Amino acid sequence: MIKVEDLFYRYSSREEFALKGVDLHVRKGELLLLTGSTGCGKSTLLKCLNGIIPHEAAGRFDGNVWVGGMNTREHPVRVLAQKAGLVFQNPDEQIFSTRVREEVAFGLENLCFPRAEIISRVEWALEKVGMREFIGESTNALSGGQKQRVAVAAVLALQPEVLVLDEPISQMDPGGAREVLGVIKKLSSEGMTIILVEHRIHEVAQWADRVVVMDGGKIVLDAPTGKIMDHLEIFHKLGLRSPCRAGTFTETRQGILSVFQAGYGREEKSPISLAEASFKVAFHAGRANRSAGSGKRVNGRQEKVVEVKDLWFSYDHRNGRGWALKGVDLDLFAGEVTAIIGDNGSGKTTLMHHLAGLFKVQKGRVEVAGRDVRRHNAYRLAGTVGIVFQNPALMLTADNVFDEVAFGPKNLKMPPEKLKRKVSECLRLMELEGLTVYHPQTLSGGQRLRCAVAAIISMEPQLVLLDEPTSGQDVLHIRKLMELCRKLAGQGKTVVFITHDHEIAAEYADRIIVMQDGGICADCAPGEYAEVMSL
Amino acid sequence: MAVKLFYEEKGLFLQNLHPLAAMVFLGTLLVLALAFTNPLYLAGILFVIVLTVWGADGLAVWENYLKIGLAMMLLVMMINPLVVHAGKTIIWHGPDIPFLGRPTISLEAIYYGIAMSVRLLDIISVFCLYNLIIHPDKALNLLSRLAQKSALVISLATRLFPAMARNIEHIKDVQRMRGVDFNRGTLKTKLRKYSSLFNILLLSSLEDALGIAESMQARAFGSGPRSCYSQNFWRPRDALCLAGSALALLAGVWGLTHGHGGYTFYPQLGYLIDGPGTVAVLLTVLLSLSIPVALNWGWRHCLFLKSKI
Repeated sequence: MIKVEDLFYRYSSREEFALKGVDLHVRKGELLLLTGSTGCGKSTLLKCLNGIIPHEAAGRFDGNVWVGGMNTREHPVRVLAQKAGLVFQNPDEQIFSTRVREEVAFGLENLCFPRAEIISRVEWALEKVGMREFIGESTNALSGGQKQRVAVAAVLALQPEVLVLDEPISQMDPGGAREVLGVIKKLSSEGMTIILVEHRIHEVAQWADRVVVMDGGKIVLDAPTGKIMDHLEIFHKLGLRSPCRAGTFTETRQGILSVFQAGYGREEKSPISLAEASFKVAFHAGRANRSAGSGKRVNGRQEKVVEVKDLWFSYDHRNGRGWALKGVDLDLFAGEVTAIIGDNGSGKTTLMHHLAGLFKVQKGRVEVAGRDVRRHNAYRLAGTVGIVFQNPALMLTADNVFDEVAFGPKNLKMPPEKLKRKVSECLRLMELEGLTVYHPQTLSGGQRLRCAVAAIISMEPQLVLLDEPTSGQDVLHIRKLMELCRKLAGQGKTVVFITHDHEIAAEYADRIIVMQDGGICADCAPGEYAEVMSL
Repeated sequence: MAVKLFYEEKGLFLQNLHPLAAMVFLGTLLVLALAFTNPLYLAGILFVIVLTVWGADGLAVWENYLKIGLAMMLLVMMINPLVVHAGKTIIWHGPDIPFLGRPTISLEAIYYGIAMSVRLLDIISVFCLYNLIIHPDKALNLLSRLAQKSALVISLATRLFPAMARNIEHIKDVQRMRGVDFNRGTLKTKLRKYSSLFNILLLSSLEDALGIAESMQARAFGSGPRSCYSQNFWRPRDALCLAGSALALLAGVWGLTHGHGGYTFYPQLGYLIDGPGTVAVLLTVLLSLSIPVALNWGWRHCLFLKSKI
C-alpha cells in the first residue's frame, strides 16, 4: 500500500536534512505505530505521504514515495488526498468550519463532488466515528475528543485508502483519548490501513501490527509488535515510553502485584486493569523520587502556602449560571508536588488561575503565602507565584533566550549580580545554555516549554504552577521537567501541575487531586489513588 | 470577552441575508469609509454601522471592538498633530529641540487626526459587523468560487482578529505574573510594554494560521474547482440590500466627482457643508445604506413586510 524508498528531505529554511534515507513498506490493512522523540522527522514523513511535501512545501526532496501505486511526485495533492488522509495533532488547528456538517463536507467540496454524493459521504463518515447525531452542531460546542473525531470524519469522508494520524490523542483527557482510540481501533478492525504517530506508545502498541521508531530522520527500529519487547533498549535510549502490550502485562502481572503487596502489605482482592497496573508500576517507580516525608515543616507542622476556602466561580457570574468551580476547599503545603487531574471542563485550569491571582474571586477565599488574592492581583503576586501556561509560545516575548529568562527578575528589581547568576543557573538547569542568543520563538516545542519554565523559576517563586506541561512532549522531556519539580519541592517550593498523564502523576506527585464537575472528588496520596481508580 | 468576537449563530434577519448581498453591503461601507474625507460623511457612515450592529444584537460585541479601537484612535489623534505641521492655525509652539526644531501644533492637524480616527473606527466597526452577520463558512464558499487563494487569505485574516483578541488577554496575564503592570508608567513606558505584546501576538497568530492552512491543503483546498454543499437562496431582501448598496456606491462616486464627500484640511479647514449638494449626497448614501437595518426592523415588527421579503 505504501512504499517509501531512500527518502531524503530538507526544509528550505534549514541546513540539516529532516529525513535521511527513510525506507518503509506498509501492507494493506496494517496498523503501523510510528514513534520517536520530538524532532525526529515523524511529521515530515507523514506530510510526504499525502503529497504536501513536495507539492506545497519548498525544500529538497530526494527519493520516492508510492501510495496505492501512485508516485507522490507525479500526482497532485488533489489526487493524493483521496489516497492518504492526514489527521493532525490539535483539533483546534484543523477544524475550520463552524458546523460539523460543513467541516466534514469541506474536503469533498474541494474535490468538486456533487451535492448528493457529499450528503451521503458526510453521513457515512460521521456514522463511522460515532458522531452522526452531532451533524448540525456547532464545532465550538464539541469537547476535545468529539472535535478530533470530527477531524477524523472530515478525512474519512474522502474515503482514503490510508489513514494517517499525527499524535491524535496527545492533547486529550483520558475520556477524549478513549473516544478517538476507539474509532481508530474500529477502523483498523474493518481493514483500513492506518499509520498512527503517538508518544503514548503504551496505550496503543497493543493494537498495532508493527512498531516503527525514528531518530534523527532515520528509522532505527521496524519490528512486529510481538517482537518489540526484544528491543526495549532502543526505547530506553531514546527516552521513549516502554511499549507494554496487554500480553506482556499478563505475564508480568504477578510480578507487579507482588511488588505492590510487598510495598503495602495489602491483599489484592480483585483483578487489576491494564491502566491500574501501569499506574501502580509508575507509583512504585516514583517512590524513589519522593522523599520519605515530603513537605517543609515548621515546628513539626507543615507550612501552609495555599488556602482555598469554599471557592465558587462562574464564567457567567451576572446570570449565576455555568459554575466552573463549586465550593472548592484546598490546602497546599511547602515542599509538596501536587498533581491535578480530571477531564476537560472539570475546573482544573480555573482553579489554577485563581491560585495565580488571574481571576477575581467571586465567592469564597483564596490565600497564597498568607496573602488574600482579592487584594493581591497577579501583578502583586509576581515573584511569589509563577505560572507556566499550556501554550508556552504565548509566554515568550523577549528577543533572545537570555533576556527572556532575565525579564521577570529584572522587573522584580533583582540585584544585577544575583540576576546574572540566577539566569545562568536556570539556563543550565533547563539545558538552554547553548541557545541563549536564539529568539525564543525559533525554538522547538520542548525547548520553548523549558525556556518558559526557566523564565518563571528565575523569579524564585514560592508557588510554581504548571498547566499541562506533559501535553505533546516526549517522555524524556517530561521526566526532566518532573525531576526539576521534585528538586524545587526539595528546596521548599510548592509545585502544582495539571496533567492528563496519570502515570506521571503517580511517579512524581506527593498528592493527586482529582477534579470533576467543578469540585474536588478525590484528594489523596498516589498510593491511595489506585484505589480511587478501581472504584 | 474573546468569545464574543466570533460569529455566533442567532438566527437573525441580518444573518440570513445571502452572503453576496451581505458582503457587497459591507464592502460598500468599507469603500465609502475609505473614499470620503468629510468628517460629516465619516460620522454618518459610523452612525449607519452602529445602527446595523444594533440590528444584529451586537452592541455588546461592538463595545469590545470599540475598546480596542479607542486606543488606536487616541494614538492617531495624538501623533498626527505632532508630526504634521501643514496647518495655518497654530495653537501651540513647543520648545526648541535640537535637530527637530520647534514643534508646532495646528488646529488643522488636530482636526485631521480626529477625522482619520473616525475613519479608523468605521473600518474596525465594519469588521465587527462582518463577524456579527456573515457566517465564515458561507463567506469562504462564496469567495472560493471567485478566487480560491484570496478566499483563503481573507478567511484566515478574518479569523485572525478574534484569535488575536483572545490571545492578548492571555499574554497580558503572563506578563502581569512576571511583574509587568500595564496601568503604571508614562505613556512611553506603556507603549513599550504593549509593543512587546504585539510582536508575540502576530507571531502566534501567524503560526495558528499556518496550522489551519496546512490542514486545509491536506484536504485538497485550492487544488482545483470546488463544488458547494450548502445552498443559499436569493430572496427579495437580498435584492433590496444589493440595490441599496449599489445606490449608495453610485451616489458616493457621483458626489466625490462633483466635490461632495471630500474635505479640505490643509492649509486651512474648509466648510463641512458646502452647499445643498453635500447634504443631498449624504442623505442618499445614508438612506441607501440603511436599507438592511430598515428591513431588519420591518422583519421584526411588520408581518406584511415579513411575508414579502
